[in-house]
Amino acid sequence: MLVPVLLGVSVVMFFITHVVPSSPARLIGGPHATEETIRQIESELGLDRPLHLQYGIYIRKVLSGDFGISIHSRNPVIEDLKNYFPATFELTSLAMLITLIIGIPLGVFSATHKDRAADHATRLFSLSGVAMPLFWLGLLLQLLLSSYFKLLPVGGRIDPLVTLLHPIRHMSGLYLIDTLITGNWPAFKSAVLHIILPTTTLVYFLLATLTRMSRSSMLEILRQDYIRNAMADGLPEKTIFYRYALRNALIPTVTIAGLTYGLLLGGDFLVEIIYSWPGLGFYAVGSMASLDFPAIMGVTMLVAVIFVTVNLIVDILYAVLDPRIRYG
Amino acid sequence: MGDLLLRVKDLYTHFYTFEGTVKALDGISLELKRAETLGLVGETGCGKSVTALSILGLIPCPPGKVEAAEIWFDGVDLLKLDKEEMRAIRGKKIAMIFQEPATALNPVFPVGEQTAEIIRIHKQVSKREGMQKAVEMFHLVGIPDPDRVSKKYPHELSGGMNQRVMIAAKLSSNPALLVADEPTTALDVTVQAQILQLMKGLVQRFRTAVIFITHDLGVVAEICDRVAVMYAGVIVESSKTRVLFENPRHPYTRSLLQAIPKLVERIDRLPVISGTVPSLINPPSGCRFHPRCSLADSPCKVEKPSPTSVEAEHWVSCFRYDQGD
Repeated sequence: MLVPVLLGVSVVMFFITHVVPSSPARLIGGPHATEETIRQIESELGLDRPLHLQYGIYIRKVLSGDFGISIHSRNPVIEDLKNYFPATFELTSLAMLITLIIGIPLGVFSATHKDRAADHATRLFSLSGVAMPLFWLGLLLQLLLSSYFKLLPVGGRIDPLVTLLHPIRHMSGLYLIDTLITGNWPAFKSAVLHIILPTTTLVYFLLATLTRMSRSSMLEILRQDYIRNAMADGLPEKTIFYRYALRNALIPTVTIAGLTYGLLLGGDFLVEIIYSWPGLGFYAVGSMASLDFPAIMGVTMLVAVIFVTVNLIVDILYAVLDPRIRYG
Repeated sequence: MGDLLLRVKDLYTHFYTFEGTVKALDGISLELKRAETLGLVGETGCGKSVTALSILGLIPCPPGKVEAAEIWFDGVDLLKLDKEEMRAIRGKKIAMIFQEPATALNPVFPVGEQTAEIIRIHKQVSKREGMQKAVEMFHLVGIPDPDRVSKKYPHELSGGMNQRVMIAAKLSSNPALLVADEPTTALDVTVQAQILQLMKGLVQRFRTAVIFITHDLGVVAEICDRVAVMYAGVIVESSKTRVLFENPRHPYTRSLLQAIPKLVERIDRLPVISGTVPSLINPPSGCRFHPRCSLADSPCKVEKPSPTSVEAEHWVSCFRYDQGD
């Protein structure tokens, strides 16, 4: 499953990036470069060879773990990915975790109090989350909490001054975890303060979708025969809602949550740009602006791997939740 | 009357929908003695299930609204109970079996666990004791290898087996009243007979009273002591089962019985009741059956007939039941 997907993605991406009517050589050479300089850069980068040969070389290198050198950062792409991905992973996972913890109970609550004040409030809240553009919300939060009240940093992942005084020992690449394990409290505090705003922005957006999803699938389940049957058996409402119904309602919710998670792990571009969060999205946008082919290809391949993996995990979760699904 | 278990008086259940008020039940009254089996017969949509759900307090409200002079059950008026008191009665003293065993069981829990959960809640026993009792009940309802079956999920069992599980679960708390809403309709004919025999045996053994909802007069003849015939939210006739089959008085009951083909007669066409079941949003005035009744007269169109005693324990709601023999 993974192999054909990756092969397909690599072919499509490779050709799309290479048919763009602009050359990285021109960008590297600058506006005053002569034709000769440009041709020289092109031959250095191998851009003068036929496209299918270029692709062949690329794939051979990728298979041996070499994604090439980033034109923009001059680092091996694989190193760049290793540096930038943990930031995205940290932000996305934290946001997703919080969303699940709040969103599912909120959806259930909304469904079991259908058409009452609490339900209307929840729906209004989640509707606003869908309707409000991410960048707008991000800017508002920055303006309010960073500029006016000076409570939180405007952007970035950690205060560079703090890391200078209290260097972080890199283990997982996740600042929250690394600083927590090593007991580096000043750095931990700084990391927490920095992650609050981007997480809040993401959570607000994610909550909207997830709450609506779990509310509607819960409503659907509450109409089922076995719920009425459980009521006729005199089971307490709490058991019926949170055990009998939720387990069934989680199945579609898990799908949405999983797909969104996979999507965001590929870089929550808007949020990362607004908060200058040095994640995959931030890196990808930078690479695209400078036509950094190897970097763009590297990001795309990584995103494809993540997406397929998350999908696999969702499929496995299905079987755990629903005994009717069995994989042979 | 010391033997009386349930008395429903003037039960009106209405549903408030966008299209209008659905008057699903229009003054249902019925009585049930302990260990007695009452058949509730009628076409689809005549209010049989609504009657049952109203008694159990399971009508969703809104859009539904249940009103009655009383629903007296074993010394208490169910209408006066609050939510929690009603829940304590449901499943423990009044149990209900639904039509589709496959959809009435929760698809994501093993059947043994579901049964044990009910036992645990009503008998306040531990999880393990609940499970033991569940397996015992499975054995009692004739499930082969109950230990193994208790770990299965509903989709791994046949319809008949699921209905046995259901019966086991419902009878586990030894309820005084069992409401069975078409428990055999979704099953194969041979399995139907087995399930009916099983239920008959068990309710006799536990002295459980049963309200047996069905549209199958054959099933009624098989297991019911008394029978009440419903039409468009009204009970039109009720009597001992035997009496009803031998001496039906309401024109609707008669037409129903005529529509059953007999083995010894050769006919090409079965008699049908002309017209269709009326809308319950805008039901006919007077007797709800009058537009389809061959005996209908002017009073039938304006006045609602009340139950009249024809003989001992035989009531009929019709102005002209003595006509047209």
